[in-house]
Amino acid sequence: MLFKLLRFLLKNIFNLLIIKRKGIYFLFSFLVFFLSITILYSNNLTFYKIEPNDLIVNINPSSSAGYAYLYWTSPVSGKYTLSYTQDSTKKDIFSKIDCSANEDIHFKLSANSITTNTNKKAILDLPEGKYYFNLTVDDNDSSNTYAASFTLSVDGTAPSTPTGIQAFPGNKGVTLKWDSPPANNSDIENYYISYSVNEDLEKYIINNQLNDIKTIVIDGNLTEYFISDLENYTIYHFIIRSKDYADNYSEYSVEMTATPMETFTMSDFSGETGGCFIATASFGNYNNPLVIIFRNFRDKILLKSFYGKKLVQLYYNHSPKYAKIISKSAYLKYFSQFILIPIAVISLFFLLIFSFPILSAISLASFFTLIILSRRHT
Amino acid sequence: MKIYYKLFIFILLSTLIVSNIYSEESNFSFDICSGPFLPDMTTNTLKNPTQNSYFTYEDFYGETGTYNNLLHLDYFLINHYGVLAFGIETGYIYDKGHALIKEANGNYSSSGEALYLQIIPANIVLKYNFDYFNNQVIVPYIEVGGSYWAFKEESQSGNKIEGAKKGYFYGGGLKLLLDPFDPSSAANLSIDYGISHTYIFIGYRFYKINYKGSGFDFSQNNWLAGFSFSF
Repeated sequence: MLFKLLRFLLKNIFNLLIIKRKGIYFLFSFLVFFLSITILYSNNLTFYKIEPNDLIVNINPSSSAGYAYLYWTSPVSGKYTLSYTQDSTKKDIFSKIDCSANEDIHFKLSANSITTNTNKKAILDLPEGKYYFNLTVDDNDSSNTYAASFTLSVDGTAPSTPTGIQAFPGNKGVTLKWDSPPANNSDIENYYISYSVNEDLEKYIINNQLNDIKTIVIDGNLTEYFISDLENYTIYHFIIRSKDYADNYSEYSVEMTATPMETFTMSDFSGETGGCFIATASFGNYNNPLVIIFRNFRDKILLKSFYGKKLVQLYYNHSPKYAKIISKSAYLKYFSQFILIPIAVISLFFLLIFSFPILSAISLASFFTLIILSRRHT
Repeated sequence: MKIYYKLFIFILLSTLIVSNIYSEESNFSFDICSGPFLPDMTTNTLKNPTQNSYFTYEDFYGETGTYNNLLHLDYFLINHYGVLAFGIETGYIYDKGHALIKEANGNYSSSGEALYLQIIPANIVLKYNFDYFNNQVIVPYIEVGGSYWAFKEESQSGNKIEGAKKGYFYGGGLKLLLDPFDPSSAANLSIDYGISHTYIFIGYRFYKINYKGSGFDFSQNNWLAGFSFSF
């Protein structure tokens, strides 16, 4: 079957190409049209990959005159012309260069000349200011010229050092607040917050002793940040510095200290335990004596240890959904009471031991002594 | 016995709804309103053992409070001898404050850890408007309702508590008909959107949400103001 179909197709194609000459012209025209469209489409598509975002600009903070890297991948072969000016109304004040396309194009630019750079990174050695660039490509194949424009700011000035820093302790965290940068120096891209339990952080950073230092990078628009996952009752030291869009870094701020510690929320102080929990749902009343035992067991025993806190957290995360189910069914209420009453008795036992340790020890000792004595008598 | 009450209320409401569907008067009103939210809550914890004062809502969330923003939909059960309306309303309350820390000297102070309180109030309301005349400019009203407020308090370090509080409220206010002040706009609203009357109103409510109960007590007395559109 397949063989027959193949033979039928070959026969018809042969007829089209050889016997009917009109078919050859048609096929040729179609191929030319198809190739033209492909070339045009691919040229446009690849050319528009040249965007300002492809430029990576880096400024040397130690130099008053900045330098920048300019490089991108050439999408089409042809002659590339890069020109730039500091005045958008004039054109080509400095100079321009024609060069052939490579896989990677790198330009080395200075105030008066532009040359291609064979290294991976090109250097723009220009005074500070805003520059307007124009890139044209003369495509050899289609004799078309394309153009793209972009601006580049060369900035060698360090941003302002963060001031007015305050550190407020929280539970396992610290909130840092600082002043907004002055209006004439507000091009801050990021803040770098470094913290450690060691003091003199700047000294450690300069000496590259970074083992115990953590650094967080945050958005430059912020003037407040909560650093979490710290140890309570441990003194932490913090310093901040800013970085602008041209990768200039400010000096480090003054060092601040804060000690995270346990905090108290409104729910802690008002006895709020949330909506519904298993014991409350089972006994139907938040003030039921057995519920009070569980509550005291939670507050006085569980919440005073690490694993106890974890257990309470686990319980709070999962119990409301079960409590809802229990509260809707009388049988489940009875069943849960059957389980909870013995647990409440055990909880009460532990509560008594923790609340009156000496009395409990004497009572237990007396109890066991009596048992031993009674056994000896028998 | 309870089932008879429920059946009676159901039949009464059904009769009133069916009778009102064929009425040419307004059948619904939609209110959008807002008012301050600052509960009178005091906690169980003393600020200082030597003083008999407890921590309040303001100690955590500041003295300015926040806003109770509400959307309210009324259905007019009776609109012949005044207007008796049954309504549902919900909204959103958000407040930001700070947790407290205990200092070395035993006093509490505001910490650097933020606290967030979110409440979604849900109320059912029975409202009576003293609206007896056609295009009555000032319409007093009284209202009573039940509340179920779901809340969530969350601290920046991740401690979270959720729940809901039940309660009730009552209050009253004044509605001012805006149509006479701009008759052409009122006519356009009526033609384009079917809004027969537009009011601006101000009211006062006495909330008793978990009043004197354990945990959060959102009871407060506060005013609210907004716009009402009947259609």
